[in-house]
Amino acid sequence: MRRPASAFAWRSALAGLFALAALAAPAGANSILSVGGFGEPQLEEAARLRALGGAGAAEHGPRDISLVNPASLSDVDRILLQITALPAARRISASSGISETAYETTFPSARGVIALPGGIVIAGSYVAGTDAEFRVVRSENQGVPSTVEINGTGGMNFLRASVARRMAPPLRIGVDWEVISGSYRELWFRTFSDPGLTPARDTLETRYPKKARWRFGAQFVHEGWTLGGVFETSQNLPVEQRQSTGGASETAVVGRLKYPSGLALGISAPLRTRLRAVAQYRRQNWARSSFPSTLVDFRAQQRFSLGIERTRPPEGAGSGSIWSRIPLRVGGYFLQWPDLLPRAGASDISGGTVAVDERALTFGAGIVTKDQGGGLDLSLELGTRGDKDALGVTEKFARLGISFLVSDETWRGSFHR
Amino acid sequence: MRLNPILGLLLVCLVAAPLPGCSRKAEKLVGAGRVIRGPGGLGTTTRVQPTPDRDTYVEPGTADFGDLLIVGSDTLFTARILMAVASWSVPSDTLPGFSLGQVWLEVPPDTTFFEGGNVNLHLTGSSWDTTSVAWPGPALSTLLGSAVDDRLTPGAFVLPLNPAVYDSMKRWAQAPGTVPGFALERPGQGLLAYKSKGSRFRVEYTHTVSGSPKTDTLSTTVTQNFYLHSPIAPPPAGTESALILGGIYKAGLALHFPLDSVPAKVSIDEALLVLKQVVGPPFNLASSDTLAVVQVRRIELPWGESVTEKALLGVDNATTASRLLRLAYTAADSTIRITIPGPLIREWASTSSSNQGFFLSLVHRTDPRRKFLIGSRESTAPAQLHVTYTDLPPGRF
Repeated sequence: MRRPASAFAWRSALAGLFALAALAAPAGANSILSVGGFGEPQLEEAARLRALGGAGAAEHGPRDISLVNPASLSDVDRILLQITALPAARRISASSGISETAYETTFPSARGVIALPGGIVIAGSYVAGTDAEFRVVRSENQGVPSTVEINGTGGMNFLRASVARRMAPPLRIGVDWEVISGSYRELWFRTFSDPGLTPARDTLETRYPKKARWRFGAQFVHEGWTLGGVFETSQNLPVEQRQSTGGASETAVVGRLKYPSGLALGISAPLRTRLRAVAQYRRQNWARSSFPSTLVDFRAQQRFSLGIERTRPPEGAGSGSIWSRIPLRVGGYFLQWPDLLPRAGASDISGGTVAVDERALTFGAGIVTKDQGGGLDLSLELGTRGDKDALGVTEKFARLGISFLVSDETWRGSFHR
Repeated sequence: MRLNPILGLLLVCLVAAPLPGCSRKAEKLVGAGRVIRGPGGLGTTTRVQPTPDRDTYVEPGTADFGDLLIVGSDTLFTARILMAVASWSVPSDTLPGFSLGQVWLEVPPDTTFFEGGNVNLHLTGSSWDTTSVAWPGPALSTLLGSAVDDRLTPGAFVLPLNPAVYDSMKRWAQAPGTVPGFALERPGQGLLAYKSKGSRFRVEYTHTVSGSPKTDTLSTTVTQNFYLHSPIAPPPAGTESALILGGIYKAGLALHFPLDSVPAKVSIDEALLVLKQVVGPPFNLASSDTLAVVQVRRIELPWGESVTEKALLGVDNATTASRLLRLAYTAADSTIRITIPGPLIREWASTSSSNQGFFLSLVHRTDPRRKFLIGSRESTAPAQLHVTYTDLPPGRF
């Protein structure tokens, strides 16, 4: 086995990548529509599946893992580490005619997978559920004029332990034990034009205890076709709100959040040699009863995903140009946010709500290492959301998904064979 | 296919991509309207300016244990200095060749007042308890000496005593507890000031040493001194249209503002005490006013406007706010403005029973007579407490 001198540099680069991911905040700023409700729903999948519109319920294979379906881990035969970064640019346009561009990076997921004897595969992952990070500056004229800057952080996150196994040649099953974590925190900094008034720093925190729920997944594979399904259980979370300023704070339980059950159904179908199509429907049963609020209503969160992939050539196939060997993916999704937000200019939802629908086209490619266990995948998502008339703003976004997958073989140096 | 160069490039992109993307640039004004938090918006900032529902001025008591001793009279103000000695140093008259010389009292002068006049030292008729002594104090008894303090000579003021005092000193040295105390008085109008440290009784004598006469002096340090002054006159009734801040009586203001309208849990953006000077010469930057300090303390005990003495207020020893007058005074509208800590207002708003009000005092070391007449609630320019507060951040859900 040849070990080039640059092996150390490669390992250093990988170590640097994971260190960067560990040190970075779980998520950066996000959609302006995430300033209320639960925040922007996140797609946790890695770049390979993001490029297919997020349709991962029917994925399986030694390295073709999905975060939607725990059964997709069943065919993993080694140790895998996967992390995804998501730099994004957004163009926000308001009904007033002015626009602004924002940039941010999020880390939607990170995962480690270990194949054990007996065909059992276990995994641990961090998954972003929603992202409520934002920063706004607004002039206030209620009473003494002031300028309020609000820095919001947090959202819903999941810490997940998974186990999966191929029970029979066509049947794969998996289970996730998932801890619902996260919180919402806002720092308010209010300044006054009157120099006699002292700036105020206040804090608003909304949190809930960490509680776990189950996710069950299965896949049925037959002659290149795969059907996948996932069911998620619900969980009740008492929500506590703490409003505080220097020397004073008020804490109250503001309600009970019922994190709803959900499901995902997916299919992977061979179209031609090296060409397949994937589709997925995913739903979380958010409803008005999930969490009573005068500022946000809820509907079921639904994501419709569709993708086509030109897969890489099989091992041993003849050589060709690099473009003929690189897998290519194209897809799209339509996402219905669960949050039903107040209309533009309204102070609450008593005057009606507006739904947020998000649609995007996705593209991607990837490279696989010689050992077939690691690789680098890229995705590009171009989408829109919002409604300038009803919500007052629209957003156009471009997201670059970058996922790195490394196996134990890759780490040992087969990367460089 | 060698993937290393391609992978290398992509890895560099991967590592570098999050760095520019970590910018915190985000929506500022464009999307800020989406922050929707109910009918109260993002919280209202409210300003209230209550005036006192009780106000008066009080004196800190007729015994002053400060570092300045005042004796004499200024119209209705009269003061005398009391002194006490713990132990005496007296030369023995059995020394060889003993001959008594001068016996006198030395008091270091203070330049605050030097309205020259005759000063008398008396033995007091009784001793006193410093915790309860008050004007007029013990009666004056035997006159021990008298002198004119005209401040023509530098150094301590020397008050010669009758030679017979030496005999008394010998008895006091044997039994210090038998001497009740001493009082300095200055008859007639005019004030003299002395320092509270450094006073001493001195005895000059001559005795023979190695066959030659030698003159020596023994000193006895005054271990306690303070002055008593007549009560503030006329006494405050609580209905005056002007409140006295400072002056020779060191009067302080007692002010109580109702804060019931301020919610308990709010962000305090402003707490400002505003006093309007209604009578008298305004603050003069070119005068000794520049060194004056206004101090604010909280009052701990319930009080009514008929109160005349500070002791009845239970004033906190700790200063709540303190500010140089030159920084607190606004010449344009003749007002004194002092910032009050927000936490105190919040405490009073949340527990109204703890709100017993403010005590304000003026420390004017170079001109103790200086006073400011402040508009009372009975006037057209009462004191005000400017309080601005903002609601806590409204909930997200």
